[in-house]
Amino acid sequence: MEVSQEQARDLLKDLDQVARDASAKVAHGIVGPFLIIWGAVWVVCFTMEYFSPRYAGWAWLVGNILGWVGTLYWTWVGIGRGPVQSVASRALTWRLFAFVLAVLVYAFLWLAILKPVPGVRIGVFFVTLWMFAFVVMGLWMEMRFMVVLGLAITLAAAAGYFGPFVPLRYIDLWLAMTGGMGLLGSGIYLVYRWR
Amino acid sequence: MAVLNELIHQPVRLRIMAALASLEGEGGDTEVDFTFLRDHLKLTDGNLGAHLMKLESAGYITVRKTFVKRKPRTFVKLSRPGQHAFQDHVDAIRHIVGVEYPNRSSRW
Repeated sequence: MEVSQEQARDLLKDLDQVARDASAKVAHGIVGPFLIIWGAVWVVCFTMEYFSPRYAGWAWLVGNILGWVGTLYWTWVGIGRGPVQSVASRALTWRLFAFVLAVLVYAFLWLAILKPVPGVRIGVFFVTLWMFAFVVMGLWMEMRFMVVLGLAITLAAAAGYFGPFVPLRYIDLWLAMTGGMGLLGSGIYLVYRWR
Repeated sequence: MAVLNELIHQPVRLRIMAALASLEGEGGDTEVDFTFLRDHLKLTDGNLGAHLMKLESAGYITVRKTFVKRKPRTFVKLSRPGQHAFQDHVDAIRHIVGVEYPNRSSRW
């Protein structure tokens, strides 16, 4: 069997591409639906904050319940019916779930101690907190997409809150557009790109 | 010095082995869904099945058929000899290119 240096180089390149795409397809296929779930929750709830602040509390309660039910369901589906099954991947999925839960419980407890905190700040705080979790998970799983998305939405939220171009009364709409639509759009893109 | 493996060198089988090896975790117990492989490598059921049979008869992979929620599913797993054979093959290709990796345990 004769293989030239040129052919061997092309083979290595092709193998590398197959391997990278396989890992990305698995990871992004799992992450995509989570982004869609929480993107939709954020779009609806932050929009409610702006147009109907009286009912926003209820919207967040229902949105968070639906979000967590969806998250648990998709975690369970990913573990039981995902394309790659192994003890290590099941353990990683549960570890990621536990990490996100731990970050949120920590934040809720901390806010409960520090309250009262104006609603606007809570919104910006939770958006940036989620994105912090995204960046950590992206680094953990070597998913550049999540790191970039987390940093981009964090910057957008911070720019809206601190910057001069978004009046504070529009901050919830700003978060719905940047955070909510950012997650939703990214999730839809990932699902279609890697299906 | 590692030599090229004729069975693995066939382009489709080489891609199958590369995909399986890339998804192999630390525990060495990773199983990959047949339909995932088929879609990822853009193959037909028959084509993938035929190549898997050859790899299985060489002992490079194991195939497990099961039912999940009453639907039949097939899982493919890279065996230990398969991992070694694939790694040897990649080493041989690297040798041709002139790139050597002294750390044998590193992921290709």
